[in-house]
Amino acid sequence: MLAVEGLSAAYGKIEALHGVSFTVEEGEIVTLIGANGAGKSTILRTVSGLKRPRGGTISFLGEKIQGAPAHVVTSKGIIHVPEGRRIFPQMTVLENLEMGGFLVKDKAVAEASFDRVFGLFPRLKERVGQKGGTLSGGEQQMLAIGRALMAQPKLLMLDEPSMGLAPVIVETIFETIAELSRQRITILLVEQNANLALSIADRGYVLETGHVKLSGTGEQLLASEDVRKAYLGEG
Amino acid sequence: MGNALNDRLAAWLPAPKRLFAARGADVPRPGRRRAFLGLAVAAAVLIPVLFEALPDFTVLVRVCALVAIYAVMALGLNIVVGYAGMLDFGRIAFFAIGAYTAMLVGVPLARLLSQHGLGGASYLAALPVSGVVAAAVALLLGLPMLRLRGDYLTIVTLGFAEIVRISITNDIGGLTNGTNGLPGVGQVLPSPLGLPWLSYHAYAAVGPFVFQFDSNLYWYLVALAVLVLAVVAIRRQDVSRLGRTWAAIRDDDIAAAAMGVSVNKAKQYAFALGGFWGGVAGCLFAYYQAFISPESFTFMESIFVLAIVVIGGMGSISGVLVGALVIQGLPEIVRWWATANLSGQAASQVSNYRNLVLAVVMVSMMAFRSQGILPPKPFFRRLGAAVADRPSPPPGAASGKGRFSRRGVSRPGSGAGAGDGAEARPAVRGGGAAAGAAVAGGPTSEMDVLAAVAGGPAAVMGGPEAVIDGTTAETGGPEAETGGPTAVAGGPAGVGKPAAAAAPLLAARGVTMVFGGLRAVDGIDLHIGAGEIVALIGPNGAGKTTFFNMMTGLYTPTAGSIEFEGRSLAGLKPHVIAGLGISRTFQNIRLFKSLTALENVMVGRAVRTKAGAFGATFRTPGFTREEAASQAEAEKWLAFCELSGRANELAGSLPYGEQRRLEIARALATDPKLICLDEPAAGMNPQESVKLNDVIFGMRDRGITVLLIEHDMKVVMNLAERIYVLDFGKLIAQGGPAQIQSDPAVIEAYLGKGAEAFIRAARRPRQAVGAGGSAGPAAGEEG
Amino acid sequence: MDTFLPQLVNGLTLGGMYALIALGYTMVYGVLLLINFAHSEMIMSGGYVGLGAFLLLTNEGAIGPAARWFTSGSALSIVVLLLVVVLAAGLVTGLVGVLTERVAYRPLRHAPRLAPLISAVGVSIFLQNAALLWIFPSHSFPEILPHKDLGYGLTLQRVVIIGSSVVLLVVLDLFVNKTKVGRAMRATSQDKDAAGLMGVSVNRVIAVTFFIGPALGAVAGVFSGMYYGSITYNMGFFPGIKAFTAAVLGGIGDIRGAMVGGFFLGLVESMVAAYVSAGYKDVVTFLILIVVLVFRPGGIFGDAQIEKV
Repeated sequence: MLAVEGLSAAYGKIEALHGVSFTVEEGEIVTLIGANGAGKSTILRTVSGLKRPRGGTISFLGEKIQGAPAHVVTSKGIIHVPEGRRIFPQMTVLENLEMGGFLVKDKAVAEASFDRVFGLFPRLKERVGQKGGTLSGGEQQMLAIGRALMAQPKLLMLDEPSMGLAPVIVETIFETIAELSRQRITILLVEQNANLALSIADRGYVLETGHVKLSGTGEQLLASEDVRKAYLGEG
Repeated sequence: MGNALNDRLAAWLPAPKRLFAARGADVPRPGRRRAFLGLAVAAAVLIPVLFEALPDFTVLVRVCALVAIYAVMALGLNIVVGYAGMLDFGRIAFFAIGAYTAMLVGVPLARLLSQHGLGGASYLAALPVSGVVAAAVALLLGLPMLRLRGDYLTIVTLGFAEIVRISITNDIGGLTNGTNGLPGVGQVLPSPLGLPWLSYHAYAAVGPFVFQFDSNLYWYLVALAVLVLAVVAIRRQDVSRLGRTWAAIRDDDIAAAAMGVSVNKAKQYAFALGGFWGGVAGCLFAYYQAFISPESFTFMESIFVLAIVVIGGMGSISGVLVGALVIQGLPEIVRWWATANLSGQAASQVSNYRNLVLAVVMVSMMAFRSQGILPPKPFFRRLGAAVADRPSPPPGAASGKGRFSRRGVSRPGSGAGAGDGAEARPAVRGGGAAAGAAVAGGPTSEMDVLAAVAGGPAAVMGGPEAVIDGTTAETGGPEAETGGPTAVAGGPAGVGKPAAAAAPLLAARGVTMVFGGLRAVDGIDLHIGAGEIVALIGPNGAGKTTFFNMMTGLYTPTAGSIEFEGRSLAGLKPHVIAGLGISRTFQNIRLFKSLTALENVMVGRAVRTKAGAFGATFRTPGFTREEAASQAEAEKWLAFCELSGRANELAGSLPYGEQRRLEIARALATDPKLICLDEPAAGMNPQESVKLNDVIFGMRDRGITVLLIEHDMKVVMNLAERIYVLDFGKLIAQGGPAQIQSDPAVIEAYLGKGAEAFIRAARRPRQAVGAGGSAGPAAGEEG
Repeated sequence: MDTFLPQLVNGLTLGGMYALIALGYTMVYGVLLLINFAHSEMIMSGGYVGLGAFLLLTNEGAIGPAARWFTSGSALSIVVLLLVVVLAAGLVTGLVGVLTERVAYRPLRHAPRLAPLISAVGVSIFLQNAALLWIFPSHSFPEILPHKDLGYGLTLQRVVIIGSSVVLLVVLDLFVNKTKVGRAMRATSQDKDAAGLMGVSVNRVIAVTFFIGPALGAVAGVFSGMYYGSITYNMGFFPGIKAFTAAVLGGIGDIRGAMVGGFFLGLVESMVAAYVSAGYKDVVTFLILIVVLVFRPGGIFGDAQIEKV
């Protein structure tokens, strides 16, 4: 579904990605794990068009999309939930969700999407008129995911959904991710909590300083000595 | 024992005297530079004299005079824009103030002096007076204005310039004669005035030739002399503590303040000095024109001066001079040429199109070459050769040696008070030493390094019982808090500062911070004893960094108090808190990117030094001594953080891990009693975090208390004696590493399931690592 | 009362123009965090284009007999003439605005903040000198509307200026808050990256902003020409600075704030000119600007923001 080939990207003179390649197949949950600064978020930003690649190709459903601006990538069905949630703080929950459905023309589809989001996150329905900036961290994350769902994603890219959230809420969020996967949404997940990410993922890639160091199924990686030592805090 | 360490460090630092000798030169090849400067000044004198002698070219002398006057003003603006990074759209105000002051002071003075036959000399008094008046206005204006940031400040400077212009136009106080303008000395007192050598039509004998001086040439030479003075003074100010603080606030004013730089004071200095040269230039202009009116001081003139700086090269003196030549001189020269060779209409078109062309150049310059024609040279800008010339030891070897000896001498000292736990510690750092050796040369695989690091926690834990003993003995549980710090501080005998046994170094009570309804930090109580290493952990957004920001004065707590050495920090500005002895690093590295590594660390010394513009300008003995001492101190901390080889590289060009250590070196250079490290290991690879561990233990051995925010549990458990855990702004647990790792609330909120595995791993026996610990120092002594 | 009421009318007239101009500053600042220094020249451009349209429509040599209708003085012809002049000024100036963004600001979107501001001042100087050299330095401007005094200084012209300013402000407010493009605009000003991820073409939103702001400024330019009876190449400078002050007063980035700030400043200015000193009325504006920026940088209605470290 998504094939990234030899992707490189740089911030000024400093290259952040050196030829990263990976694939995501339809219906999978694929996770990218690695330390801070390994380039995980940069990959998502480059795929979604927020950042221009320096080299390499990105193809989605057979179509080359590298270098396309974010709104074009979004229109193809790749929806990126960025790190730090990035909801619109001055807009209400409802307006945030409407923004998510910005490209959806069909009113009926939009209505159905609202029902789906409120079904997944009843909390959001209670706070529909509240400004985004006044929500708690967990609610903001729900809103960010809900907003992404409004866009009818084919591929949902989540950047550190667990960041800064209490474990109880992280659990909810990951249950939602599993539920979305059951609803046939393909998911590319970036996480620092490798344990959690690998236990939910079909496949995973381990990144180190801008390239893929290891790859395999979730179980393989969880069982791998290297991963356990380096990323799961086990010695 | 600690002295031995200092001796070793000192051994490969240059003696201060030698350092100073090397420092006399600001650039790599002073001889060549001097020769070049001499040539330039000679040309600047001779070429206009030649113009004066050739009838066709006489008009150009006037151009030269205006170029010199505008160059003086632009150099002043360059201090504000180029050095201190404040964009100013109203510079012409100070030029106007200087010009009117010159008229109001100069005319009566000239009348008075002419009675004694000295009428022509009045400008000698008017120049400094105009400068000082303009500087004083700048200072006064700066009091409220410089608190503004960025583009708001820019607009306010524009507003101020308009207020000045409108006031002049309205004949404020009956002084300015409104739109009719003021006649100058040259009109009030017909020449020749007083002595022939000071009159407007003077004579000069050069060899057998006698020239009649026209007033254009006369004022050109006066302006040139002022310009040379300005260049020397401003360059000396740039190459000093003052110049570094300007660069620091320009690059990152928040980091600068946290390092003890008084941001307002540095801005005031820049604003006032810029105003001074603006006023001096205005005085020259008034004398030269012998008539002034508000028309000369419009917004367009401000932009014109700004264009000189921007197009020439912000922050570069030679750039500004070239800018003045190109922007003030070139159109005039083209017009002169057109007058001589083309029709009169073509000539007038040249001056008409000047502003249009200028505008196009400004816009395209920003898009394609925003640094200007001659941007400043970062590497040789300030300290240059002084550091580069000195042979520095190969970083690997030298650092290895330094570290091993440090470890060797410092650890046994603390053993006395620490009991079982103390034995565990060297073992940990032995692990680090093994890794260090690997970096220095040993072909050890990465996995080994990882193993060594990972061995850390295990070693700390020792057997479960040793852990508990160790923790209590070394840090004191909550109930033994007074005893703990003493035991630790007593360890590195001779190195550290005496510990305040009774009161904690830092005590926070009920500290709360509310951002628009969100309680980011909610009633936190914590205390840190002198000599401790304390960690603050918790999920992102739990309020850890907010707490740091309150401690270091960036935020004012909504409620609660923070006391440092028994003194409340309430309401203190960041640089004052840095002066008291709290320093910090930042989560997203905030180095001064346009400065070299050494200069970055020297900015840290700003809070312990005091030389100002006067010392820098006149290179007083006190100034040179202080500069040399700052440099030596900065080099010491660079060495401590194993960055000696990088001293002369731009901070922004260093690899990530080294940038983190450079931030630590910079923080250490402020002589902190307490250093706050915000995620120092974030993004570091395993080797780098091993080095970091060493650096942090090294600080503690020198008596510096450490407060640490960190997510890397290996680092935290290895380093910290006590840990506070925050969640949603609240303190949910505190205690020793072992206590924290088994605390159900912490596992629930933060450590998660991983913690169990972590604890399991930590409880493994520790043979391999122990061996590393004993081998490390030994290898060090031999090497 | 003999002074007060006419000054009130005068202040509201000025205020309407300032409010229209202030919107351009506040909208651009909202999406780009840039003080669009060249916005002053959009006012000038409006005046010049408006005059051009007027001269064209009333020139029989250019458009034939239709010109005779436009000069006939019938109510309908005056209304149509004014509408065409205003629309032409707005449309052309809007395009100028879009062009300046494309040429001078877009290449600098990730540059340090000094760069776009310097570029903006370059654009401003360029446009002024282009008008000065390539068109004319100054020209008289027709009143267009018949001179009719309604008492207390209220003329038909002033009624039209105040009335149409209010109407345009209301329309803009509805546009920003009720339409899809307006919502995209608000989203872009709150978080450009996130807006892009929602499918908003950020460049297009910025272009729209750079169309609407200058177009409104141009309308103010036409009004200013009618009001003062002349236009000059640097006519935008003072209204520009004052409108910026108005935008700051209302909290820059806040559209309703800019409107209130505009009217407030217009009233203050006319009262100062009447009761204090006409020569220093501009000084008062600048003093207000400085005092507000120093003591309430978030504006009178806004709140101060804490910088994230």
